[in-house]
Amino acid sequence: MAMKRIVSPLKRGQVSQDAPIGATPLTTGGRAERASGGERHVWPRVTAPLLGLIALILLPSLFDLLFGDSADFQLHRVTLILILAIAALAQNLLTGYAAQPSLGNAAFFGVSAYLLAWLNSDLQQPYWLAVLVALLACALLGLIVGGPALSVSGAHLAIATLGLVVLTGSLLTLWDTSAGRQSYELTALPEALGDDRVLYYLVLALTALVFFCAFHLLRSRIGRAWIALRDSEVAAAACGVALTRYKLLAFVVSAVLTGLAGVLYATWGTTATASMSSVDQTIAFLTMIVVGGAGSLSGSLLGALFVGLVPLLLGELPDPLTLGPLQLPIATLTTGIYGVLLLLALIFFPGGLSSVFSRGGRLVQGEGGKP
Amino acid sequence: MLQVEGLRAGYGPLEILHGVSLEVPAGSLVALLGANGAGKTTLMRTLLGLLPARSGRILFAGQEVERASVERRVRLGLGLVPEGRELFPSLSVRENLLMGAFTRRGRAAIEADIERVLTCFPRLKERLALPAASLSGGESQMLAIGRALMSRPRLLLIDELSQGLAPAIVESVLAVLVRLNRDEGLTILLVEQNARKALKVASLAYVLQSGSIVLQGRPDDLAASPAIQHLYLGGEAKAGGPDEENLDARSLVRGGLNKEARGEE
Repeated sequence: MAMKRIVSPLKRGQVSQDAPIGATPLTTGGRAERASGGERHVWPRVTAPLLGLIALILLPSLFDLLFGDSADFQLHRVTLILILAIAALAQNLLTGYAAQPSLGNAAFFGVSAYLLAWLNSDLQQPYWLAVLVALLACALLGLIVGGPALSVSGAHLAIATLGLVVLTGSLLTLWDTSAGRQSYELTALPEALGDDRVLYYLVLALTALVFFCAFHLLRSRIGRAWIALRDSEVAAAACGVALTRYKLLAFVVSAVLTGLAGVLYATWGTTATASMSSVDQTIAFLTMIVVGGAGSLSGSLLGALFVGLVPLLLGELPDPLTLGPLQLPIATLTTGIYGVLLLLALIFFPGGLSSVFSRGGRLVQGEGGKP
Repeated sequence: MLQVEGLRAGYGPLEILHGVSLEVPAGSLVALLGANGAGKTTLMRTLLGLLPARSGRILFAGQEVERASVERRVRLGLGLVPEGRELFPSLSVRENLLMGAFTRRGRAAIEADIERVLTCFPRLKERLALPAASLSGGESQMLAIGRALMSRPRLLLIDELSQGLAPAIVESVLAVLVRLNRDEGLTILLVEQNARKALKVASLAYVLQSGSIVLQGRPDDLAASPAIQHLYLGGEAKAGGPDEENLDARSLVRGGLNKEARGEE
């Protein structure tokens, strides 16, 4: 019964006899959103993001009214969600659009943070130069790792890239241990970034820019090629898409965006930790796109919102949480909750939250479930 | 236009094509017949380069292409309508057509060709902005052909045109192809289950069996040949044979069983 429920929503909106073969929940989420495409729906596509952006620009003022003195503290938490949204988008471009089930993004997340810490704090290089080098390093690393990784597909790719994460995490821990530290503190950050408001606006601007670019990238030749190879590799190849080149491009773009999220995350927390390259972090990335909606830009935002809120809510609890004889570290609890969210999402709304919303939207417009 | 000599190809340890040789003259409409599992789809994939040739030669438009990338072959003018259509369901009809022009540059020419495809298949016009997933079977096949036409092929390979389509739709799609062949000089290699329909429109026909060409000739001769009926029964010679429609139905059923046994979709 549960299996049936997982499969059936995938067929939604597909009236043709030849439903795609081998479609998996991870790679089909965008269909519902795209299925509502066409010129009639330009309004929500342009207006909703714009309204959202304006709301986010005004958010600090709203927080002043709501929280008074603790407004900056609350804003700091929202900043995290925006950073996570970039990481979710990175995973989504690679997995939700280009259909590569890579679990390796957490490796780039940690590496870029450590590079920033090393260049900026230890080598005393300017912050922006350090960020730039970290991103370039991610691109290079993505290119080097992506080639061999993408020569295998499906589960093999997932396992190989997960191995990369574990390896990276171990190396970063080794670095920390040999340098005699718990985590890598960022001690030479520009003073302005210490201000929660400045950081918020910087991250907001970068997130908006990244999403804007992604929106247009996905409607370009490159984005079409990614979606095409997701929908049918054979037909994409027959159209003359050089599959390996476009998969690698998705891998590198995803690595750079994850690297950007990594440096911002380290800046936000003023520290880089080896746990940024961990299986837990991978699960968090995965949860964001599955819960939010694979193959959906709005899904990346929604996923980041949910994944970002969980630790914030759990942060109110004492750590470790004592339940009778049980002593639960909050980190373990967080990953456990991500697992439950993943499971629930896959069972009840495989298209992610974004598909739930767009389905609702279409019901309101009286179109029913069918395009 | 296309010359194939001693082509061998297969998957893993399995060799499917055991030295196929055939020729498609420029401007012709050639039918390739054969039961399911004969290697028709494998041949199509190898011609386009989706599957590497193990040995043999593929001469297309005067060039040896058996080692060339798919991209290069598409640029040279090979187009494929794959078996089962293989549309991009989440892309719109228009975006599917644009994907067909992936190897081309020049917006204006591409837009003009979209118009041209829509003239051939007017039913696609009102569905231009809809996702390909919403198309009916017939519309899907029209879009698959339209997408292949967008690369401006000189030779169009069509794998299983009539698969899953109502006879009336097959007729109308075939009519468009015949017109493109006659009026615009588009060379076509048509793979078909329905031998009768294919032989009616073709100028030359080949029969593929177990990875080798076993018969070739003018359609009239082939249609008259008892061997064709024999082949379509897969060796069970049936005296006083039933009419051709029934033959087709039988071979389809048999093909379906074969496919299942091989564990294909």
